[in-house]
Amino acid sequence: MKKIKWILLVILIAAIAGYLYINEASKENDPTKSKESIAISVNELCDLFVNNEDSANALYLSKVIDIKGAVSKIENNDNRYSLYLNNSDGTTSISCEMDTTQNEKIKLLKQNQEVNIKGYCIGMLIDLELNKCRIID
Amino acid sequence: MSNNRLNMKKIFFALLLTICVLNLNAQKYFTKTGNIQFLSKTPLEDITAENRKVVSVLDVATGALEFSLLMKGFDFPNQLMEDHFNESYAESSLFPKATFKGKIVDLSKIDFKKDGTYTADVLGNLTIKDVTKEIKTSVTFVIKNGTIVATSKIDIKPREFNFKIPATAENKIAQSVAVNIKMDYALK
Repeated sequence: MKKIKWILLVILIAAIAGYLYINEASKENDPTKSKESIAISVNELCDLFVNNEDSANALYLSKVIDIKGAVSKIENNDNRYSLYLNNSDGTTSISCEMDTTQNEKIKLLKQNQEVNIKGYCIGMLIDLELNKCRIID
Repeated sequence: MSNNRLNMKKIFFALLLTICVLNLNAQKYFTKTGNIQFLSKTPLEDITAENRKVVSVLDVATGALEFSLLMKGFDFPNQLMEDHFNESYAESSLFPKATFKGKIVDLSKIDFKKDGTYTADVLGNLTIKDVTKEIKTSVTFVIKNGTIVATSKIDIKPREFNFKIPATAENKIAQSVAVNIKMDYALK
């Protein structure tokens, strides 16, 4: 009897650990489920990267960024969307590569519509790049 | 012919030449949506990843070809693989970008003004994790209606680029990784 109890306990612990592990792994893929996110304006984030890319990388790489702004361009490549948000003088864009779970929402979006997006900051090439982005309702 | 007219003619041709040269300089093709995929194949595990946001410039006048990408832009089917890649092997926070700077070796093989499929060698330097290696590869250029699609396949040895692979993962990551490159250029 004692033995069965022990076995049940071990199975229970393993099940909880497995659940937590899978849950944690999938969570990391979804920026909206991350407990920590950085809310920042499009202008401020663009300025930081343009003025000092290294220090901006140190602060924001892999962090979940929460931005709001008007969609300047909607791009679709092989059914994967990118939304672009421009800074106010139009010199820098934030390119948000959207998670494919967002496709139906994006189809309803219009250019210049205000959106709130969360995504992972992956750095800057010509545009400042966010990926795995999702729209927050 | 008067001297004056001859001078005018000279000036005219000089101007024409300048315009031609300027025009050649303007022949830069560009993409922000270049695609690079890699496949690491071992008996234990196949690992694939895709980067859909490669920036590249192709100067058809000089044959200069460059691209750069963000290491964290590689999308893996499995989040744990992606985390291992970025945090351990590629150290993407320390080395956020990979770049290639090269040149089409036999530029005369390609008529960029004429639609068609051409193959030419590209020679250049690939830099990943601050390690630079010379690479020569055959590239196919498909020219159609003012757009160019360039495709190539290279093999990269991750260990040569200082990828830190722990003993526990040694058998899961191929010695040589196949990299497929596809750039969809339009005139800048």
